[in-house]
Amino acid sequence: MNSKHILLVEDNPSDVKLTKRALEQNRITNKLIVAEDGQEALDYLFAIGRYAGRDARDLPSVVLMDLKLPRIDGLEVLKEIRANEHTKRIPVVILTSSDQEQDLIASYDLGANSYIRKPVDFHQFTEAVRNLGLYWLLLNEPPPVV
Amino acid sequence: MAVKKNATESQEYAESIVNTVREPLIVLDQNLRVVMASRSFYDVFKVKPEETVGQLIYDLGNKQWDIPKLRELLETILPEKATLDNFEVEHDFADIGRRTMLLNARQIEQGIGKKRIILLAIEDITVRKEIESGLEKTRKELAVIKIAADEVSEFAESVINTVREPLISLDQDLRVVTVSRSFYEFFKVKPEETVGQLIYDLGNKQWDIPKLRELLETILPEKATFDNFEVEHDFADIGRRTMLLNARQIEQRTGKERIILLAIEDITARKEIENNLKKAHEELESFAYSVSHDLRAPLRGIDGWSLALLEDFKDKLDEQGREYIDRVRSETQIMGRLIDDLLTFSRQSRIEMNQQPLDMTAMAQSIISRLRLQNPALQADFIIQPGLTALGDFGLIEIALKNLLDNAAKFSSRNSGAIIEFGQVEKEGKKSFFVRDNGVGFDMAYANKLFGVFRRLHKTSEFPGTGIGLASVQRIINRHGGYIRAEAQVNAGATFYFTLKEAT
Repeated sequence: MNSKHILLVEDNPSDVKLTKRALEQNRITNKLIVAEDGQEALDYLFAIGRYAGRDARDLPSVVLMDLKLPRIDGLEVLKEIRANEHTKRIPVVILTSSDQEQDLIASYDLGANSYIRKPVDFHQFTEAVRNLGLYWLLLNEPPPVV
Repeated sequence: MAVKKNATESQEYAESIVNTVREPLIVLDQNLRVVMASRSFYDVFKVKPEETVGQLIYDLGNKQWDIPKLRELLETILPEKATLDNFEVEHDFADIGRRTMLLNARQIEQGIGKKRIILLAIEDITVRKEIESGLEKTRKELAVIKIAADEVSEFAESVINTVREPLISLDQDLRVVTVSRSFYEFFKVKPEETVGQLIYDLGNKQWDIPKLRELLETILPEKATFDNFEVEHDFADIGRRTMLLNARQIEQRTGKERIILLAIEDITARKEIENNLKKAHEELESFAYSVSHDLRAPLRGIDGWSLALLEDFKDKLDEQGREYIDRVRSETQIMGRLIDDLLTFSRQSRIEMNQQPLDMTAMAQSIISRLRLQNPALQADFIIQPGLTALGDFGLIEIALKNLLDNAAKFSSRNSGAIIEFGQVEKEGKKSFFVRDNGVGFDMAYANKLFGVFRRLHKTSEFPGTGIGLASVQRIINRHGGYIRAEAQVNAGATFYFTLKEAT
């Protein structure tokens, strides 16, 4: 049932492409779904809107999400995910440029599983993505499908 | 016989009168010997009949009665005037102490040719005198108190008129009793339309403010005192004002009315400044937030795609092309560091401080051991003065001290015998911490630029850095109420002096 895919919630196309590149370079071949704003992420997870008809039980192994997003921002998406019985256990990793204390606190308070600050140096970024993929797709046991 | 009997009867009658009056009374013959004394005389002067009757008055009670003024009365005045009232005599008696007496004397001629006798009534007015002098004293004290009270009230009035804060006092019915000059000036009202008025009615009922009613009618009767009660109100004449009210309810002595003192501070301007500051702060906050989010993302793109170019088109790029890309990437890193440093810098001036006693020696030692871990090539010798303490926020002071020690290490890294000292000296009468190195130093002509944001006195190629460090240090020290300054000489090292509050 679980296809071990990744949901990337990111509005910056350059960052999306760089993330894809970093995944490829690390030979992480799992399917990558990209939502370009918060609403799209929720549509995907709840199989509504343009994702209506999708099997809602097929949840991503991990959600990599930026905080500053159009329409619905990352913290609100996180709140929705945690508030919903169906999605509340999905691992959510905040992947963002900011290391503002208020963002860190809010993210953890709302139940983020991890918080990664995207490094400017692409080598470091690639390394971070590699670690993320290794950990959340291979090492981590995902919550059971209910 | 009848006459004799009559005479005896009248003598008995006289004797019983003598014994009834409470005033001591004695009867003397013309030689001033005691013929008779009243019971009260014996009581008051503590003498016995047998040592009194027949004695010369001056000899009574071991000559206690030999009083010059009494002699004057009996021997000089009385023979001439025959009667004398309220002759005051003060005398120290051995047995009964100092007494003040009023003497009434009557010289009576008994028939023609008969001997004269003297009646002497003695009133002891010692106690009355004492009371009178007490009363007089009290009266004098009262007068002094009244003067003082007048002075106090005059003083109070001049205080009221001197303070810049508008001040009014109200009686218990909330009618205006006194008003300070500043009140009239500030609220543009006249004395004749103010004193005696209900406060709410002042200036066309401008003062009928619900929050003021609440303060005066609900809070004050319960609490008797109230400070910093904020009231905002639109006044017809002077516009919208924010005021801080301090109120005191004073109970005057029992039975008297209570009065209410009301001090009004206009904080409109201050409020405005505070609001602007708050707004500026919020703007800075959101600016920092968006810098943190938005400025770094394109940098990552530049770096990422430069690297992609380098990796994917390796074959098509020659040595120079690859070098250019390396330069693009290293510039990107610098920009990234600048953004990070700037954010840290702005954060340092925003975070709340928690001041506590600090072990500065231990702090320096821990910074240095981390410095050595990060930079195994570090050759410098560190001399840390033991027992240094200060009062400050641990996190912030550690950032400041780390910056200073980092700098000292950096700018002395080219010396073979680098020595870095941290200690405390007396500088212009104040205890100053210092961080001293024997490195490259700098030209004091540029000392004023040392603490500016992004200001650097050395080329990046010589000594790397973003120019934020010392700006940070200065901001942190200033936030702690201290100051920092530097002394240096080119190629002879630099010393940074900074002050902090003492740990007590």
